Amino acid sequence: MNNSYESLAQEIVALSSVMSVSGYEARGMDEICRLLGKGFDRVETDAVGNCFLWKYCGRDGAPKILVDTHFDEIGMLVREILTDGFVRLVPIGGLSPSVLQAADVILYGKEAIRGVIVSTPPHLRSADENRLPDCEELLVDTGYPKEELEALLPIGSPVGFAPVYRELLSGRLAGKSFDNKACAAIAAHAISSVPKEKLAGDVVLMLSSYEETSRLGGASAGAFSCTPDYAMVIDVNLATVPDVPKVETVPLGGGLSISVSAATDLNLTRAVQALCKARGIAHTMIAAASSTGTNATSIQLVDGGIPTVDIGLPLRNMHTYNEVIDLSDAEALCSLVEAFVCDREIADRFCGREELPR
Amino acid sequence: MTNLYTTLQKLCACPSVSGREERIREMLREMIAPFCDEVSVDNLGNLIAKKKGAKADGTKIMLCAHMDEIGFLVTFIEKNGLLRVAPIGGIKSVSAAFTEVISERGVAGVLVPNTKTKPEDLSTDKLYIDLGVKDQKSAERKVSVGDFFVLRGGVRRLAGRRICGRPIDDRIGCAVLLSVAERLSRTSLDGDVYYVFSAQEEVGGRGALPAAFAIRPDVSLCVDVTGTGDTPGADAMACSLGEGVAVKIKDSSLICHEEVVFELCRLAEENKIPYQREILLHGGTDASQMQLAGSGSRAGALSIPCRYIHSAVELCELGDAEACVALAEQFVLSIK
Repeated sequence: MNNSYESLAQEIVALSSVMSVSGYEARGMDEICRLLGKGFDRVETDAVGNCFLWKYCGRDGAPKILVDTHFDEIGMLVREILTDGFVRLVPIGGLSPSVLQAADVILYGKEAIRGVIVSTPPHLRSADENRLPDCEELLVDTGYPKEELEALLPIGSPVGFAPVYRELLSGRLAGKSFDNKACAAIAAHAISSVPKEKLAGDVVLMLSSYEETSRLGGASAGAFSCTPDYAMVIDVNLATVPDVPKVETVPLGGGLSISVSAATDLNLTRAVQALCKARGIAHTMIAAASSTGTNATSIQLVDGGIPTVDIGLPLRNMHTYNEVIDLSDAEALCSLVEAFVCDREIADRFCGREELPR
Repeated sequence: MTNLYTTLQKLCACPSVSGREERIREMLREMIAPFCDEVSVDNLGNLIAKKKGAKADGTKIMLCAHMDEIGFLVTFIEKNGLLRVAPIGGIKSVSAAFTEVISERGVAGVLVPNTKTKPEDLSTDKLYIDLGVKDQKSAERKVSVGDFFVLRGGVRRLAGRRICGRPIDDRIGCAVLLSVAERLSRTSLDGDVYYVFSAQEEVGGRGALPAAFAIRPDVSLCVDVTGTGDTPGADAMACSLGEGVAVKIKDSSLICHEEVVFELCRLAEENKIPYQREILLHGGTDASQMQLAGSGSRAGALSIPCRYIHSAVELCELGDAEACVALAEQFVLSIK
């Protein structure tokens, strides 16, 4: 692997390994502080499970810049404990049963318990039984006696994919939960590395909760409480593979993506596009019509409205334990975040809006 | 102390469909007023009762139960006097067919499906209300397009401590809040306690959102009914009638705050209150609105297990509701 990628790759893997199934983000908070805290001035959490990492520019009355990366991940919860150590699940977020069968999982009860999701072998399936089971029907095999398991694993305990990461050729990484912790790690890396005098304002990196499960996401409450002048939402985007519609996807290795959408601010979007061009940052424009499918859609409408730009990191196999990203895209994203939080022209243009009538 | 069942009987006798909550609101206002310092109604029609805390910076808690119920809206009056209807809230046509209904003006009728409709084809556009009138003109003397109907309310006792009727969803939650308010009325607490009887829950939690935005609670607790896994054909769900109050972990609208869940379970164990841990696969509550309004709150929910929700024969056990009162009271007392 190319040396320049190495530290960023390690940070992405370290953060993506933290268990943060929606609703259980707070369990990883100590680890987040250990991994990211050093590069920021203040770390705080709120009632909804959002975590805010502040870096101050040191000037009074400076603009407030929000960078949002959701921190929760898809997963499952324990729904019922059956005999012989089998556990029934409920999916959290958009999970496909085709991905779940035979997956390695960890059940986070009073201790971490390894398990494998059950898959019916083809020998035992008749030809007309090729229907996939619903997620709700799937079982985890833990090998524990029922009584022992009941003591270790309260109903509602989170279940996540086992964190296993691999390098592929051409600077690509495969593993779980790059959605969206790769983006969180990249944004943290970028903001940490900027000297504070260079910042165009006070920057808050919001690791937001509940993106995978709630229409609004925890980001709406988080953006309300930190009252930014403008915001950049960063989330993974669907990367092209053969046989999927090209029109809704972006090329892996083609740089970051910038959404053009009714749910984002067109002027801020154009300004960020211009910034990419000026800095030679590889990017793809993508049309996202009336919704970006990310936190941008809700953050834009918080309070009196927040100018918001939506940025994507191309990713294959979304919502599986083998999501694939390209480190050259990660580098491009890192460069953009650095440039964005330092850009005084954007800061002048999008802060200090006229007071709204109350 | 007021008897929970007596309170519930009174509340269930009052029809109040989403968006038309005046009558139940006035009834609740009178009942909650003696236990609180201030009672107000907001623009959306939420009833908000406040018990002032001793300290200005005490932790603010919002308890919420919805006072509206599902129903039907008259959309068209046929020549023969039969009324066509649209649903208000999550009506299951199979559960609602062949049920007595009553309008907000007190006009009685029966809700029936078009003749020979197969149960699997049943939907609201195949239901009509028969008022027993001869023709359109006589119907128009009693109702207008835009009138609301509800399934006729009322509860009665079955075996043991089980009761049945409607709208137990969520008058039983309202009864629980009244009971908690009564029990806490003479106790001095650090923070403000708000008892909110929300409007328009059945049409998407619309009332709780502005109420929570105005109150800005630190902690919020929703009290509503939940489904059970103890009837033939039900989804597998570790929740049964008579096993105690259900501490919500997740429903389709939210995942509750982990510490709130932990605290509720701890308090139940410490005080020997029967409880179960609830994951509801289908259905949401006001808790999701309280969680994300404004800067958000630490949101949790207590549920009363209930069979046959949204039918005329909702069925639950009084002991579970009593456990809910006890646990909600302990929770409020535990807030520092």
